Amino acid sequence: MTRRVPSLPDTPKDRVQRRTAAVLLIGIGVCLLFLGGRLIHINTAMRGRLLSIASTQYRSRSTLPARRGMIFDCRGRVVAATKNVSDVFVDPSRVEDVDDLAEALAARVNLPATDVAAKIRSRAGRRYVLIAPRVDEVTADAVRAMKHRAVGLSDRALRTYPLGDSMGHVLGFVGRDGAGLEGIELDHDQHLRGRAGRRITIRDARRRALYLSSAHAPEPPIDGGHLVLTLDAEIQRIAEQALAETVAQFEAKSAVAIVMDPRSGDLLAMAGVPSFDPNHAGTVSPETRRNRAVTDTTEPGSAFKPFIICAALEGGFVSTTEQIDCHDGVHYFGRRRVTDTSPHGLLDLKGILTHSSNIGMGIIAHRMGNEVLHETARRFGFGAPTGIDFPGEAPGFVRSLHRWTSYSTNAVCIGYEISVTPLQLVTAFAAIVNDGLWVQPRLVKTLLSADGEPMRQAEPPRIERRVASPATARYVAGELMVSVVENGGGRRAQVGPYKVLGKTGTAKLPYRDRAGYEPGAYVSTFVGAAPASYPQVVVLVMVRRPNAAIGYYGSLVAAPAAGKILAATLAYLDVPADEQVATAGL
Amino acid sequence: MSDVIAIRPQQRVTLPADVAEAHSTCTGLGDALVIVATALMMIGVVMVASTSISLDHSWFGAGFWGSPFCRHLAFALAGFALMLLTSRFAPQVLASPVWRGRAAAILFILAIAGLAAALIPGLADPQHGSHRWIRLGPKAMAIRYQPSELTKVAMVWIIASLFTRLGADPRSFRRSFLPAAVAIGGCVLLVGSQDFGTAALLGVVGLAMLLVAGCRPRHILTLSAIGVGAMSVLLLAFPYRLARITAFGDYWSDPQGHGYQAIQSLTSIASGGWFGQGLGAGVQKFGYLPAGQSDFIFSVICEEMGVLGGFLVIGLFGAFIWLGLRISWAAASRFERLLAFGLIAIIGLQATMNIAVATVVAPTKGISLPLLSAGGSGLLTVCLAIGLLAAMARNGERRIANAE
Repeated sequence: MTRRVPSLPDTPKDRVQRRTAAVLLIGIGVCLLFLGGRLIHINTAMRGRLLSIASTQYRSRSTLPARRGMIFDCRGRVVAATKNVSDVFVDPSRVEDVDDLAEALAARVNLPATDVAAKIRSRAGRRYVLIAPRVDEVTADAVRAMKHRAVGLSDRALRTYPLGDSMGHVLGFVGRDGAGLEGIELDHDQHLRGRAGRRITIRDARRRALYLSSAHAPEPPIDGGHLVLTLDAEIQRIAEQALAETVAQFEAKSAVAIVMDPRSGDLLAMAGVPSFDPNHAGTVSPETRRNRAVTDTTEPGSAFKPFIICAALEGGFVSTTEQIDCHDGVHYFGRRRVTDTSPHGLLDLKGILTHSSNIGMGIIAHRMGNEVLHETARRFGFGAPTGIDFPGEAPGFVRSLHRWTSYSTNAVCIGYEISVTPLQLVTAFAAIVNDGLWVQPRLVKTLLSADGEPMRQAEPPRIERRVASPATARYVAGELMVSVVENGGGRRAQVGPYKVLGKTGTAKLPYRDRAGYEPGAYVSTFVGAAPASYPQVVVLVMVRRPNAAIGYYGSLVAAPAAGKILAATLAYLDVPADEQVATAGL
Repeated sequence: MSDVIAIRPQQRVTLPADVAEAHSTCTGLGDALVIVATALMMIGVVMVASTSISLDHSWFGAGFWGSPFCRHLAFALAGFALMLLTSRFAPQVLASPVWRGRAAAILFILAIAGLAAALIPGLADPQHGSHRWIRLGPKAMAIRYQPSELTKVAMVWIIASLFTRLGADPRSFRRSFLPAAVAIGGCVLLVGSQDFGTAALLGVVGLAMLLVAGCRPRHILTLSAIGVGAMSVLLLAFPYRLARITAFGDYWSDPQGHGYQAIQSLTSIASGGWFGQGLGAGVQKFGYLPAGQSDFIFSVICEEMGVLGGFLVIGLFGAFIWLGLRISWAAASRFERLLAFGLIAIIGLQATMNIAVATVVAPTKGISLPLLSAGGSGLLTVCLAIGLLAAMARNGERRIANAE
């Protein structure tokens, strides 16, 4: 229905005027309608691209860092912690009176005012000069209270290791971004780091934050959990001290000591020399940072003999009373010449181990044959990682059986032609001490949540494996290896009131770049346990490249250090001496 | 249908009393126009308030006159009063041929004087390198007056007047076309030297008025050709204008440079979605979208009130044009018909051009959205125009009543 409003004047000319005006105005209206359609077009076809522009220009995503969990030793001592520190910096372009500011700032950050002034002047006109890195929270608050427009603070988390260079190889360290890079810090990084939160801030064109009701709620960070290690900082210190003395005395290249609880597999100490301080990880070469106890492999030498003897007894290849002719110090097995340090003649099993007779071992090994020898090495865990919760563990090396030769029989039985890590060696030794039960070693005792509650479900199942019968294991440990310390090469390990058992080893080191053994290059080993009647701890000391002119036999270099560690550790653990136990009728 | 009345030429009709009564239902054109205009003004006040939120100072932090919102509110109230006063007192002026001519002369002289003054260094208040403003009063609470705004009303008025004065004949080149063309050309050239967008608006509306008035098509075509030539000269004389137009085609190629305004405006509209972020909740106004209070207020409306808010504004302007069309249709005289058409065309076309710029359908011109954008001179001028339209609606209705 159209309504025509009557108006005057009303000539044909007026009507043409009205219609022309109406057409033109309706034309403008049509343009407006078209622009309405354009609005829909912008909000559909162009929307995605435009929204991404909007989002990148005014939404800034920031992470809310999670606090990294602490690491404790088995007695609750803090060995790794995170603290909040701040870097104090100055924007020199905003400083009006340098001396005035330097004086005020110096008093708060505890630096000489002249130094601060010199730093600011050295970068005059620039926007940033670092005045004091890593100041603590109290200092930071004092600086913040100045409210000076040229002074700024950037907060960050700093990982600190209160023990310094003690335990450094085990703990590892974290990178600048707070991620674990080595050691326990790397292996349990997921647990320790927690999860960072996120916040989306809307900012104006000058990057100032806007607080709009439409903003998203921030996602809070989840702090990392804590770790309790099996290591004991005090035993670690004992081991490190003994190692340091030994290395100094024998001018050795490096050394490793491991202290282990044979029943639980808990490692009480894992020390390496040269040591390394994770507080300054960046300044240390990767060579030094390496945890040699799990990464370095070597031929074990005579320290390997107890495992062969265990297997020989188990398989009935030799009896405890049999007398074996060890000849006059030199014997040919086929074309292979084997020597002892001195001629022994007839020896029983105890004698062979006590005097570490290579000829005696060779005779027994030939009775066993390569297949049994190979199986023995594998059963005691050699040639495969122990599965300890530590990154970069070396598997060692046991050659495949089909590649063994007739020479291998004589080599393997005295600890050559296979390579082992110190950890594998001490774990296998602990199996003998632990009545023939091989227990997987571990470094982490408990995982704690961020609130400090134990997380039981997080503990992996322990692996245990029988490697010898209890009777055999007790005989080898309690008789044969006690004799090694009483009458053989282990004499120097007998320190203090606890009766020590153990085995020495002295292995030649091969050339690094060609076949054959390097003259004068040795690894001196002692693996032992005490007290002999109810062993509480197993200790391994392995000293690499002692100065051969001073001494290189395991009995001379490694045994005394192991003895010191055993005596001090047992005293620290309040273990009663053998005689007291005997008197008490235990 | 008793209310459909066909009127033949030269026919004097005397409507029965009941038919006249029926017509009183559609006599509220002026009131409806004022209501629509007021609604748009209120949206404008709210949006200027929203866009003037800033981290730099509070609403009143820079003093009353320093606050864009306060200034705008004051101008809106003054404009509302001006609108009502004009609609009350202008009918007599519009109805009198003598006063029409005097008003034409006064308006034209004021407009030309203002445009000239804006070029005089002492009075001028150059902004962004162009002389569009005159500063009146001391600096602290100066009123910056933009003479090109009044020129819009003055030009429309004088064209309407030239075609309806005694002895005028639209088909005559000398008697009517030439004076009107000179008036249009003068306004366009004076404004165009500083403000290309407004000059284009004036030129287009001037030509449309010649068309409505009934000039010969070849006269109009000739003038159009001259106008296009003049525009080209203005474009080439001021490289930034040319740059704006060439940049328009490929604004994506330089999002931080010449494409910045276009992309930011589109971004604002897209982030609003269908229903908007909510009043005051837009982010683009915080330094991203330039001229959010003035030329790009439509984008802010779309960001905060969504496509729906954009439709509301477009719909109100549509209603505004429709009401103006009916006022022009029912105008009491040819003068008023031409004047009403000119005024509504100026406002409607300006709104369309502004929205076209905000939606990046047309290149940036520096034209504000009538009744919504912050800016005193423009608001007062549009209110004056609406007051005149309401007055003409009143005259038209009275004429019908007299005819009855």
